[in-house]
Amino acid sequence: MDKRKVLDYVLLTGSLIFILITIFMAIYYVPLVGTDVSIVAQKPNEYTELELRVKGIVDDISGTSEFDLVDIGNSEFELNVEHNENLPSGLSEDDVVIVTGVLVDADALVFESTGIEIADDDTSAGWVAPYAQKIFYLHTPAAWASYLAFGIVFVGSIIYLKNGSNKWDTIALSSAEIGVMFCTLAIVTGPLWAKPEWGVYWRWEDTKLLTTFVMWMIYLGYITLRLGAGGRSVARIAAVFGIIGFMAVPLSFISSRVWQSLHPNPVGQSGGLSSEAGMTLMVGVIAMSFLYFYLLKKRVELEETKHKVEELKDDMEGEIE
Amino acid sequence: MSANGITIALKDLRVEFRTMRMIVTMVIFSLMVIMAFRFAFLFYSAEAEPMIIAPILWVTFTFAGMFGLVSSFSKEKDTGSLQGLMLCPSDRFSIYLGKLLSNLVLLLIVDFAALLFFSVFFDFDYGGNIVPIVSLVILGSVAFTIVGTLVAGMSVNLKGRESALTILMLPLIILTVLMPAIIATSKALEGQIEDAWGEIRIIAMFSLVYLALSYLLFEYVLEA
Repeated sequence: MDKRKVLDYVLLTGSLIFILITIFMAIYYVPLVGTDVSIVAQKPNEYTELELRVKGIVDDISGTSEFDLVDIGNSEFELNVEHNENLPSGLSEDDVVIVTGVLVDADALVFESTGIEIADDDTSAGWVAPYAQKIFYLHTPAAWASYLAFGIVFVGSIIYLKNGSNKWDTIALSSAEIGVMFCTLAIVTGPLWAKPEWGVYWRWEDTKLLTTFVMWMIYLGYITLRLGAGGRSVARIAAVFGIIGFMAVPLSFISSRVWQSLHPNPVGQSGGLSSEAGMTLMVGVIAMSFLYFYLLKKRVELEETKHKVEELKDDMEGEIE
Repeated sequence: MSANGITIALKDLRVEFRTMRMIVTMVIFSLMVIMAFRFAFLFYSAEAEPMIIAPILWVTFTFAGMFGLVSSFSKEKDTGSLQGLMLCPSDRFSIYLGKLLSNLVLLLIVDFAALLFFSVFFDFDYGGNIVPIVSLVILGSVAFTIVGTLVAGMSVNLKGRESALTILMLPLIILTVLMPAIIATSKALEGQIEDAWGEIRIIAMFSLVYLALSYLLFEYVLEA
């Protein structure tokens, strides 16, 4: 069997297997991380205001409904609450949730809430939409693959300007196209998560979203630049643009770390990701890297074939004349 | 290097002021943009809605500026005099500096005309904020021209020069020049220029980055 074919099969099957593993791990392996609430309150009276501190997993909460309170001693009660739009996002252990309501049955400890108020909601430990959060295992690897692809554009552009080898120009062009594809994937999956989590698809004031969008636009410009006829002059200009445009990549990468951003920044933060989530993310990154290298290889081969066909055409025209 | 750049800039400006072709076109273009905004915001007054002022000004500067950028290279390219410039005993970066300076002078003339047009058409008095606003306009125009001259040098070799310039340049300046300049100008209009220090630093920092990139890459752009 052809050696090049072997590498093709390895990359393709590798990416497919790892993508499947990522999906399965995201669904079955990673536990749901919700917003946890347990009560720290005085013994409920006929009408009482309960002060809840976020602590365990939450199951059910709604505007006016009945809850079962569980006496756990020390005048403390536990209450099961579920995520819904009534509970603002970003609850952490330090937040105080005030639930106002009426104790319907003092003996059975049945509590009917009439209002929920969050005293302090600054950081996020759990998710409002824990199911939508699963898209993270596709979104982040796609973003990572786009950073990798644009990095290759940068390297390819520098090498092309240095020694003028067409091979690296082809690699840069192919990598930019694939990078835009991955970046589009990340930009599309992000809002799909943001709608249930933030309540809006997009936040224009967020630096991470803004810098990533500009990065996407820059590389769209790059492929627009190369859409027309090729040639040495276009290739050189594209290489220069590939170097200038790379500036957006570190900007997008660091933006949620450097500037205040609503975009979550779990990677690289101490204790930000659970080990299960970290593992799944890693598998996802491996899957997307495999997919990237497979697509890159195919795209480069396609471009080389195109050049060969053009050469053959020129030869034939010469012979006819 | 800088002396050669100044010579090239003076040559460009002399050619330009002989016919005034580009400068008149750019000034009229900025007048048209301001008038388009005047009709778009027919029922708004600049005094009552101060948040519309800075975006209108900077969009006008951007489009009028882009209008002039390509022609600074395309007329050299079309007459073949760019080859002559490249043959001069001077490095390629001084060609960039020369074009940068001449473009900057043209852009600043257009900017001040646009500030005047805005004041007339929107019946707006800059009042005591005129000095910080003019300084911000100068700073933003310098940053704009640093990026623009490099990208114009690139797009002159491409098909559809003007559209290529827009597509390549807008994403490069949106976050680094345009947005901070608009925010800083809005703050200056409120008389709080000292709050705009962060935005001024962003513009200055990215200007230096783009200048360094131009120094490294302009040679390849010209030889393309």
